[in-house]
Amino acid sequence: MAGPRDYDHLFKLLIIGDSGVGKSSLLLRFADNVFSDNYITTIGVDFKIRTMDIDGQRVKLQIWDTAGQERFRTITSTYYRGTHGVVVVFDVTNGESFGNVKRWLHEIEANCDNVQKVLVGNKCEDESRRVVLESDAKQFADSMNIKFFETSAKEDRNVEAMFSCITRLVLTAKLSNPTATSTPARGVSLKDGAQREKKKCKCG
Amino acid sequence: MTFYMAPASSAANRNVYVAGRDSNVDEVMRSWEHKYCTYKEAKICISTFNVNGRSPPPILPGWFPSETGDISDIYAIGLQEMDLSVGTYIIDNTKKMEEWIDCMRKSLPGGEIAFEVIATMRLVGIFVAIFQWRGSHLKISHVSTNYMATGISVLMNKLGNKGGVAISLKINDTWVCFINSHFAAGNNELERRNQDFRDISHIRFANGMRTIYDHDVIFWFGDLNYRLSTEYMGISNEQVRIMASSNDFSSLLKYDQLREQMQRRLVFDGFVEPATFSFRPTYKYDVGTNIWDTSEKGRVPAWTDRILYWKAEDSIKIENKLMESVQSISISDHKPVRGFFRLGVKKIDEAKANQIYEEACREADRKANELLPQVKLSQTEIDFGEVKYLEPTTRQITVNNIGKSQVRFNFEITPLGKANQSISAEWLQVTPPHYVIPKGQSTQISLTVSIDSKEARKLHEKAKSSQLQDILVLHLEHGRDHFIPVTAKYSPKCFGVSIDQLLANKKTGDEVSEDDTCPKDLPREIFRLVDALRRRGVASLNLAESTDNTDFIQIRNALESGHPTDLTLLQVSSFALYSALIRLIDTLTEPVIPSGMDGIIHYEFIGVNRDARALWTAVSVLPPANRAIVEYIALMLHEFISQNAAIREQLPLWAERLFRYPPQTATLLSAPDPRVVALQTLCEYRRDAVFLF
Repeated sequence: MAGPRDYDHLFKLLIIGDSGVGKSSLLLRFADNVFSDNYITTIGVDFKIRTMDIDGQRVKLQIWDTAGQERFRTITSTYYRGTHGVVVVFDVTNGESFGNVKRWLHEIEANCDNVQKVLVGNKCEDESRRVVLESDAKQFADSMNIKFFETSAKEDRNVEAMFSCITRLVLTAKLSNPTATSTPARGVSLKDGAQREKKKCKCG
Repeated sequence: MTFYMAPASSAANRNVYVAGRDSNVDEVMRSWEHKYCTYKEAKICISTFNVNGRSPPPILPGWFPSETGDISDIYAIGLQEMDLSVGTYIIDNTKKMEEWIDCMRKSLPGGEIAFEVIATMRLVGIFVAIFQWRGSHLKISHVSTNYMATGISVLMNKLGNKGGVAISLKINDTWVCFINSHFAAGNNELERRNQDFRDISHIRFANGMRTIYDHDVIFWFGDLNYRLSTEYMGISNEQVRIMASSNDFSSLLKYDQLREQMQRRLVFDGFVEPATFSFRPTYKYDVGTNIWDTSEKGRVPAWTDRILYWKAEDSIKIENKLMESVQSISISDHKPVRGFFRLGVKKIDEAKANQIYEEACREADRKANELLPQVKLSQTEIDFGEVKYLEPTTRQITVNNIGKSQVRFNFEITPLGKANQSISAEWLQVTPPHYVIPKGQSTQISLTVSIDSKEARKLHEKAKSSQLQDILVLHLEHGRDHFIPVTAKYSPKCFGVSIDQLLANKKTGDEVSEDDTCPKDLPREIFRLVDALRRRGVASLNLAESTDNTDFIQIRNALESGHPTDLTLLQVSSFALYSALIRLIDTLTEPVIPSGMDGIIHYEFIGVNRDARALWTAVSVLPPANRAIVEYIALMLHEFISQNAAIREQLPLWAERLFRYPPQTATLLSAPDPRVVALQTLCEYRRDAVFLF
């Protein structure tokens, strides 16, 4: 009885940011509603799915969690292809991770076109160790014209709101300009990326 | 709009659950039914009767027992051969049908006014009717009917002599499908009967949207015509009749074709019947009697008339209270069969269902995420430590499939290996590059670092430091990617280095003994190898011999460590020493006779290759170490050839190693390689001899 597919829209979201800011924790909280105190650094690119009903439309999200370590930067940049929305995460208790946000935004510019963004300051439950002021981050986000959220994956604060915001942004963008958003790749293949690169070279 | 606030409370505009939008969510909602459904018991009576074309009497007493006072909510009655008259195939004659409906009503417990006809469906002689008892509190809705004609005869095809009629309906919120069918007759038509089942099971309802398997429960009954395969077992018709008449009639069930076909899952897969029958075969009797067919054909008794059911979920409660035939009814050559069922039908509380819908979506996602392929790697990072030229080193990674199904993985071409479309750096081999691991099992991946002559030279060009780095991308089909960083340290000492480094080794090397006869500008490694060969003598050098890597590693270690100084002490053949010498020259980062650096000299060598004096003049302007090597090798070859003529055949090999690059000036294909000629000239005319004149 089910139709040919179980959703009205399929969007690919990408979570990026420095190593250890809580990208995997945000994904785990959002997709599976769990949190683990054991820190396991992501060596690779993981994804999970989550479906949401937004204004009566069934949206299936494929959310990719990338390795944040510097040494993987070249490889992870190949996963930006076909992305509809990017979640840029820093850790409010780590000033350097906030400082690096510009680099991550630059990475988006270099690898994506037509993409929605949100800025996320994670670990906001840890007030005693906070070094990035909410107002500073907000001001920065405003200046870049990006929406900003402070979240706690640990205490499940604002995670749902943040993801539903980026999803709405992507959905609105798609509905207002249906041809602009690229069709999502179901599984992103590095091979495709390589082929695209090759084509580029031929052209120019 | 502030971004800090959650969007409008989700409770205010809660989403509504609509079944059929997302099969994953539907599955969760089905398994959670008890959370939002209430259940009632529906009493359902099914009867199937092949009436042999007979007109019904006004009433058939005993068809449905009424004396117990236990009246079912629903009666579903299927007839076959309701009308055998030839005209029926052409003219839609409803007279017989109306007579039968009338007879059914009167035969139901409580009399004709106690029931309401919910639906009927007819295909020529195949007829089904559903009655609901007026005292029943069940809500029947969404009634829809259809039929499927089968049969293979061209004339009779689709005329409805065989086939099925079906009624789909909802009892409260439980979907139930009733199918009455008449399959192909005849002992030998087993495959046609199976085909009838397959054809009829394609019946759809409600504009083709609902298949029979989109119901919670299917009741499938009729004259299925499956016989007893006793004939093939050597049991005579007479014996079968005796058994069928005895108290042991149920032991004939083991010959039942339908049971056998069901066991082999060829038909009625998932359908259920009572384990044993408490009634005798229902076919074939002399009309008006309980005597087995005495006609000419003398049919073998069989349970042709059956009632089966199927349920979509284990959790659905259905109970077959009784299944029996009605022996007292003798108007036909078949006996009617009836079955009493108790079915738990559900009533959905919409509000409650919507309440748990969000939660069900999360659960469906959680399950989908759980199904994503997952592996665990024994190591997430590999450090080979120090690796050496021509000494392959292997490390293993165990990949454990910890997911819920088999996993297929492959290594991807990475941005780092993109240039050569390779999954790894050239110094690294990965096996297997792709594989399938069954659920719960594991496999080994071997990573091997091996540096051959070509690689040694390349690494020297590329590597700024001695650190080798690569990142492998292990991709799980339909799943995540794992990165495996691989590092190794490669710091060559005498193989894969420049001539300058060989000279530097000489300075930092062990204390030079007094009787050191190594020429000033000659790398000591070359001197030691040549010296050892000289002292062993090359008369016995066997060029056809083979040497293995352990020999080479011994020699390399001795050269690198300086111990033993005297290489003749090593337990290796002269050929191994000779091979090591060639390798040493071969892995130099630049050729001994440079081409790129000084093309003119190279050109001169090529151009003047038969003029010994000019050749030696060209050699004299090479850098001191290069000159020393050329002189020393030429001298060595001169000496060795005099001791072992076979070594002359090696000159092309040496020429290629020393010049490395083919001549830049065009030469005739038939002409001898000018490099070989040049080397030969240098060997034949020793420098000191040439310049005597």
